[in-house]
Amino acid sequence: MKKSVALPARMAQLKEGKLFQWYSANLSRGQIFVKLFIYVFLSVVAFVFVYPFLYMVITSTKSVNDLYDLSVNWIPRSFHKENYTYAWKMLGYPRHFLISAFLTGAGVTLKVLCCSFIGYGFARYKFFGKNLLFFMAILSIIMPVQTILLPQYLIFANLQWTGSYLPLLVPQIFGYGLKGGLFIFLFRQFFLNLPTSLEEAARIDGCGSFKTFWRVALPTVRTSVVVTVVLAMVWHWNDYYEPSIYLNNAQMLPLPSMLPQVKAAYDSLFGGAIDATASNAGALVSEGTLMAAIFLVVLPVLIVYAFLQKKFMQGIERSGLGGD
Amino acid sequence: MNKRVAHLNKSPLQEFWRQNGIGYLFLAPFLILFAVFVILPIVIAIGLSFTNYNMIQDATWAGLANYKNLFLNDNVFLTALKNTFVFALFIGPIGYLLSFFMAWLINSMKFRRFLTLAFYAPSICSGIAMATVWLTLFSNDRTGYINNFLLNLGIISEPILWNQSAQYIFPAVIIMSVWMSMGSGFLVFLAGLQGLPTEVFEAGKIDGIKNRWQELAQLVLPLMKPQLLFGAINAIVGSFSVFDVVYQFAGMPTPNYAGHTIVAHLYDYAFLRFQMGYASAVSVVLFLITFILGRVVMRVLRSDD
Repeated sequence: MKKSVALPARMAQLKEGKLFQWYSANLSRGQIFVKLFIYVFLSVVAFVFVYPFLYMVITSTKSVNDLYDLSVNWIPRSFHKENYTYAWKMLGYPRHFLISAFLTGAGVTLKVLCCSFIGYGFARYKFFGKNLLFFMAILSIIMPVQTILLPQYLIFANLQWTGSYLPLLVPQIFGYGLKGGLFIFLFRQFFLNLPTSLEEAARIDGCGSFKTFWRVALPTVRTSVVVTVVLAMVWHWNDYYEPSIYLNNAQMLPLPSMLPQVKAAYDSLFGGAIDATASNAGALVSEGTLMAAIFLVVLPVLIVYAFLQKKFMQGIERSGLGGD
Repeated sequence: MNKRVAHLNKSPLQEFWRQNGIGYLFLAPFLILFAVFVILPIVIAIGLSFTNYNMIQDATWAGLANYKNLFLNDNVFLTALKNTFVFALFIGPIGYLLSFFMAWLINSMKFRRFLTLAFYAPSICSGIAMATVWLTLFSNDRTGYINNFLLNLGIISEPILWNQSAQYIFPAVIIMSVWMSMGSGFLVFLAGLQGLPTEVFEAGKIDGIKNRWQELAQLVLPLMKPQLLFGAINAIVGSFSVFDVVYQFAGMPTPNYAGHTIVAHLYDYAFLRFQMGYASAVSVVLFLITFILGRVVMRVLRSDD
């Protein structure tokens, strides 16, 4: 009912900013003043939000001399690329990047497939005890991981899974694991907002329940799947807690878990001292190196997000999280 | 016809399966794992909470002693309980309101894409990475960026020891947490606002809606219920995960236990002191709190259907 303007037309309107045109069409002097004020306010707040980020990027290019020269605040005298080469070495970048990429890729794939399946069950089927089960899913979202960390660890230790990637991957299959409940909730919303007519038609054509889900329902919500993929990707890439508990071998750690080592080297040899570890003897671990390491860790997610942002926003608009 | 009759002849169990079976099959993965990795640990934790257990010797029965100590003798726990709620009360609502307000302001502005990225970028970056950046910004000496700024403005005359003095840990942690919490909630709000149908606003204008505040209260908020719910759940989760920020920023234990939360207490007893029985009692309390919160969330969600 609400959607009387066709979707492509609405997207075009949005692009031209026509949605709120009636605000700007008849602006009095007071309103212009208000608008100006909002711009200034937003710019200030945006600057505050971006500041730590800018600080990181700028500091990562500074040489030790620039770091201690108070006149060099925003623009470093030269691009000190050694920061990046040292950080690259200390992080063991190629190896740990691949580990992170594997864990993120596998985790996101498993999570999206399984949580959509479970969410579909919640959205479409009536069965005894449904409310209780949904309550448990919600509970698993808001319960801090630490609540059951200890017994969980004991269970994984008994299964002899600690020291492998299994504790990080297997729970995904079952819709648990990193924020799994949240994804079940999201997919339930997506499917609840999908009209049932298509699926009924498929059923009449002789599709079974699982085939209907796989061939009809899931492809129909694919724009929304992008939303879950982006959210899951960001969270999996940044997950630091679980790997640091279950993986005891430094060679197996994903990329973000390597940062504390760089930080420790920086702390113990505070700024500009010689890093004594044999592999990078002579490397200067300055604040610049530390910031370069952080930037290298967050960069892949930023790049992928930049490519997916548009689809992501469209996905939310069209899915159950959109206005209608 | 025959098929229908055949159903009627089946046993009650078969009838139950016919009605509920497929639903259970879809949920099977969830059920199995939830039982193994959530319910079982909770049961283990409840069991351990009545014992003394240090992971080396066998557990010995302690009765209610752990709980008695927790509530009657352990002042640090009471501080942690209080801190957890105070943190949650500040970070949850501030983060929630701020992210909605920002999304609402940005929505009608130009440079939307740039502003969106500016507000979302912090939460794409891993918490540990950003905590390290903040640590240098909140550095304790005169040249630390925030100290330097405040000194220049003449607001303070001595540099503040941000992560070592009990009274300043709290505001610093609130600032960092709110900064990081402007994430998925904000994005979902913004996309929801952009998806609102134009005609509703035109109709509202004809019906006598005068300004943006009226429009917000009478049109935008009711239409955005799904996103607001998602944001609320997100905010609750965020407000309870403050432990990570405190731990990165001020270490453990914090001076005067100013940043001590229930999760920190749990971590302390489980992974530093290895008093598993006592730690389990703490986690049971934590579980009960989330259980109550879960009931509240369910009630809100049910009013949605």
